[in-house]
Amino acid sequence: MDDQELLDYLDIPFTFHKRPNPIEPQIRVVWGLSILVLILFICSRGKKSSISRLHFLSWAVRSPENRTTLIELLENRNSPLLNLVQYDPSFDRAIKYAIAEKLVDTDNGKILSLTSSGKSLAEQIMKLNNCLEEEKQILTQKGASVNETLTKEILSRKTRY
Amino acid sequence: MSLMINHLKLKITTSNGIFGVDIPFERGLFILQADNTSGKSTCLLSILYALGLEGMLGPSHRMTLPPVVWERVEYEGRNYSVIESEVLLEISNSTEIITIQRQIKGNRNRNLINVWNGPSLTSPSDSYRCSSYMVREQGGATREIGFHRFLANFIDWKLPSVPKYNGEESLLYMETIFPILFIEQKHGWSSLRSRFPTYLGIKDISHRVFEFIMALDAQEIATKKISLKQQEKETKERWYATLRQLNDISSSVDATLENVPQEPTSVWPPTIPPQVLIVTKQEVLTIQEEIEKLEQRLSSMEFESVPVVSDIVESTRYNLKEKENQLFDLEIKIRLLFEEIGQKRMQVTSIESRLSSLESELQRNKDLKKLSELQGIQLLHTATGECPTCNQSISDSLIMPEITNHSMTVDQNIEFINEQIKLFKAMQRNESNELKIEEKKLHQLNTFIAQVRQEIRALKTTLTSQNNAPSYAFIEQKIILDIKIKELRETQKRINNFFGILSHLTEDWNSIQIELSNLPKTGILSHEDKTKISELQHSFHDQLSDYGFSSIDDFQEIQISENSYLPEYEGFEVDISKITSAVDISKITSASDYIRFIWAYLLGLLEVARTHGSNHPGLLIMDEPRQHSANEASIKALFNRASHSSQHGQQVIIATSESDEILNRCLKNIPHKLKQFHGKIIAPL
Repeated sequence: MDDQELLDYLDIPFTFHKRPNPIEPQIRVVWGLSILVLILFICSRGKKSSISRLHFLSWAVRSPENRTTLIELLENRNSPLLNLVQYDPSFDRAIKYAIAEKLVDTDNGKILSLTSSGKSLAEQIMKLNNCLEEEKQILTQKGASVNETLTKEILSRKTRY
Repeated sequence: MSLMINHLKLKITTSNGIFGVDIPFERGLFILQADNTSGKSTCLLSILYALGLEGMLGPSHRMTLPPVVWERVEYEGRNYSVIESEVLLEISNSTEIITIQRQIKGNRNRNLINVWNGPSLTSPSDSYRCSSYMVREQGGATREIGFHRFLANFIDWKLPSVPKYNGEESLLYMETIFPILFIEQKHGWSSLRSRFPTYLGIKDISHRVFEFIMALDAQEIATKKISLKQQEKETKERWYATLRQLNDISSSVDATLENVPQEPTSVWPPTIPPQVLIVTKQEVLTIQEEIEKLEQRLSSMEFESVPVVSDIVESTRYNLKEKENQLFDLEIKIRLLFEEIGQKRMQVTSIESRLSSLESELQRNKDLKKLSELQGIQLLHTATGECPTCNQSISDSLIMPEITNHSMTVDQNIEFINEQIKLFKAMQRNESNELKIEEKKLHQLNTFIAQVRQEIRALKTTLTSQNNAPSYAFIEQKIILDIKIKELRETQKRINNFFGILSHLTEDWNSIQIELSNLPKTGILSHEDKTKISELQHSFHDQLSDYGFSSIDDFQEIQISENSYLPEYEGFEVDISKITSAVDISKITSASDYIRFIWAYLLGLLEVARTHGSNHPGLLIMDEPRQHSANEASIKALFNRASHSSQHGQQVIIATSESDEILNRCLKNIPHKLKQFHGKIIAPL
């Protein structure tokens, strides 16, 4: 087959279809809102938490690797030099939406607290079987150990070392 | 299965002599009437205390009885401090009567309970034997000296072991069962479900208690189902393991298995019998045919005379050259194949890791789908793609809030991932099949090359031996043939042994399948269980109509759920503590209707126990059932219904503060026993 033949062979009509892009599940609105109310509901004292702690925990539940890192951290098994937490702007937006949706409330912009509708949503999520099981589990088992002091300590590591 | 309260005695020694009360109880409907704050609840709570069951009210070890029995007695306007106090309780099952003594205040250990094996209160005698037991201590329900173990035997209860939240098992403690027999005034009327103590950490406690008290087969069926499923799984795994061993053995002689079922079957041998085949380039033989072929060759060699070296030098040299060339080719082939296999393995691993990450992404998307269907989510603006603040359209992505119209919905995303998983699974199957074939090829080549090397050695030995010596190569060929035949025979025997194992597994599999088919197909309730539940529902409806329940017109629609065993209306649990705007149960606005609900349910249990096998001891104690002032007609209906208990040897004790007048009207023509107190119940003895 010479070049001309090949070109002739390829010369057929074709069309393009616009195809929607897949979205990573964790950056969907519903995911962000659900994780936020779950953290406040499951493992936050008085259903209140600082925004930085929420960020930290949302990072921690994000993937199996992060969950492992969190457990190692709590058991003091990883290197103090490890640059742990990544700030996630998408979760910030989730927080903004949640405030607008009145799922959470804030007085000074630093501490978030769960409202009654947020609580009711969290309860509904807790009742769902086989949904966010790993996330619920790690929050139930380890979430409370991540207190505000620890959060501060972790987040200030970068500057200390 | 029976427990009756015969007699209660409170004995309080004060600075001004002995105070207390004696109450003789009887079977059937028993009404204890006294004014409010006169000490009715004290009497009922001291029954609970005597039975060591105050743990039903909460985990605390503090005194649950009111101060009148341990601090000071107030009588005719004067206070007397309590020096010592105790409660005595005479109870009976269907055959025996025992008397229980427990100290409330004093020097003795409060957790020590004395038991006499006779009616010490109603017919005192010093011939009764006394034994001591302990209560509310570690092992109180399990150890020989534990009172609750003793009491369970007395009632003839075999308390089951139930799962806890922490994954361990524990006894279904008595404290968890009595909340449906004893309705105390403070918490007993609040909710059907939340009456059970949660601090014991028992999972699904209301289910377990109901199953026990109604003696449902459900728990047993559930356990059996789980264990059969487990056995089924184990049989499958042993089947797979046997198959693996079979494959290993047959591939050690380069044979392949045909027609062996990959999954357990119900018939052995299968209709198409399994075969062991030896495949070479030229032909396909069963292992038996191969053995026969080799034996023939060996026996034909027996007839030939062994050639002498000098006669075959030329041909041997030629053969050696041939074989050495063959060896060289083989070595190259093997090296190439080896590399290829290494690459294939890496590819399979990478496909597998891709698959596992796709699967976890799929799970997340499925989670999302479930979340989006939640009512709490659907009420949100953001869920409908609208900004909660400015009502403009927003996308579903937290990173790019602007609408682009190019992102997939969750459903599309799930579809998309599923397609990818399908593709990768197909690739995985393909690649691992190819890998298997190539590994087999490599094994064959390795066996073959070993054979060639041996032949080369033999030829060399032949060439270096004396001229008149017999041909070493010829002899060795005979030996090799002999060994090969033995090896094949041995393999054949082992394969048959494994077929024997498969045949056993088939039998196991069959019996498991038969047992499974005898259990209820869906759910865990047996036919008898369902009858009990529908009887309860029947009695429940009947009573609601007697009691003038009015909140829901079509209360026939209220079902006793086969999942939760609690009343449900339109699929929602009817529970006053859980009334939410989402549920139309807010129709039950009248709190007194909710009280009727509790009467009907708990008395219903007692009624079902009359006609069906159960663990219900036939005892129901209600403190102040006329909460929220249910009307007179209802209370009369309750008394009437409860009075049937006497015909069945059951006991319903109701404490009330109704006035004489109302009570007389309500109890008219109803068989009952009435014990009235005017003024304080606790008085000088």
